[in-house]
Amino acid sequence: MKKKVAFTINDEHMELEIESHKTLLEVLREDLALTGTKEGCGLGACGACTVLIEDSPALSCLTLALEVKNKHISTIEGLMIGDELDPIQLSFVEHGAIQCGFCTPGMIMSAKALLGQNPRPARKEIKYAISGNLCRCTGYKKIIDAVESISNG
Amino acid sequence: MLRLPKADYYAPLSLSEACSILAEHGKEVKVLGGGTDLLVACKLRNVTPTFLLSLSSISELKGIHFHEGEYLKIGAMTSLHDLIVDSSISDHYPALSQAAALVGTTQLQYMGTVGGNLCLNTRCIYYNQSETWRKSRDVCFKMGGNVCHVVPKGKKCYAVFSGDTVPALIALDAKVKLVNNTEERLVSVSRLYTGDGKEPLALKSGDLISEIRLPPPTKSQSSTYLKYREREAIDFPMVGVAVRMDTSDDGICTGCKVVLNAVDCGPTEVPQARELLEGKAPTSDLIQEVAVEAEKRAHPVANTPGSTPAYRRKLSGILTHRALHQVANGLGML
Repeated sequence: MKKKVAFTINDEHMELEIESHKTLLEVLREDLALTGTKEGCGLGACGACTVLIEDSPALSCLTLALEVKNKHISTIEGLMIGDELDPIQLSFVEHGAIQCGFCTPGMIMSAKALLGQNPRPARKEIKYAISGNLCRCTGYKKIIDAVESISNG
Repeated sequence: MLRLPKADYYAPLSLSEACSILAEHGKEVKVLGGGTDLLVACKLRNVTPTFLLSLSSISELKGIHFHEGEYLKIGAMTSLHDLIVDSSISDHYPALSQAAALVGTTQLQYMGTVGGNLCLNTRCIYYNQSETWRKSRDVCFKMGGNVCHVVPKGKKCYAVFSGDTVPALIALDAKVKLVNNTEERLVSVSRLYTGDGKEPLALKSGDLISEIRLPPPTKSQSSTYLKYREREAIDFPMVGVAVRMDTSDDGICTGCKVVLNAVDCGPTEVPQARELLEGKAPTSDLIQEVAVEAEKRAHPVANTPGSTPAYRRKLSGILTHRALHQVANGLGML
């Protein structure tokens, strides 16, 4: 059954008719063509589908699209301001904190949530904040370095 | 893309409306809290509800409030993250905030709710698998069949209970308020579980958990929850243990509860802790005796990844020993 739902994605307000069993991830990738958010395991274990709901990190693969009614969702596509990369994105590029890149959108969204709450996290806090995001290239050190470098100002 | 089975969705705005829907549709409905357990089970076709009843729009189910001198009330839809950051919980009921912080990952703590953790389904390596994986074997008890792949010739389901906040809540003598279409009642968290792997919850049809109540804190009390798992960042427990201890001014233990997690089909209390420690000043030898009893109470079977039953049994004693030491030390009793 389709139901109407209104929400804001990356500051753009929208109203959609959505099948009640669709996840937020399906709506982002298939209905809105926002394919920056990835599906990894699809079961809540890998963090590749992490988006921000009201500035808190959440797994879009385990969130029903109808559950985000009237909420604000941020995805990796919403981070750039004009042609400028977000400082976190820029830091990932500068530190080479990317190998295959599949985990990167989720990693960046988790880092974004952390820095929103705590602009100067300790290295330990950065590790904890991204511990729900798996990188199977195992390039964690450069990712942590990238987040740490901007948290130092 | 791993997709959910088709299901309808209702998100009532009040508890009474939710109870009416549940009373009317009963078993076709699954109640959706944070979705971190239920939606995984739906994707794996462990359950295929006709519709999902979301509690997320019911504001009366959220929040943490002190009722001075009576109890601390936690709404069932309060997120695990809120339990971690709320100082009234971390200061007075440390076992509960520690347990919440040990559930899954950061994302899952923001999404998951305390009511959902209380209702976490039991788990088994032969059950928490995709439909295709499961098709290669006979249907097990948990899926409605009549065989157990874990215990040879087993006559029942042995799936393991692993909700981390539950042993902490039992150790802290918490109660839950159950509401249905005709009545509401208070039940101890310890009475919420059947001990049956297939149907772990002792809820009546139509019951919803609306809130959790914790007795008022005392200064002479301390508690902790320890958990051992394969990967520190995410996994379900191989073993968990919650300990609560009360002390008198002269360092005598006046109350003690030890509750094990993930070693049976329900949370497992170790009553010998009370018998051995109450009325005495805790010593290392007494704590060791309780740890030995904890090991005897644990009945794990081979249904948890990354460990053997013998390992988990041994671990039950070791974690109990550590937790009791930590709490007694914190109270200045050792």
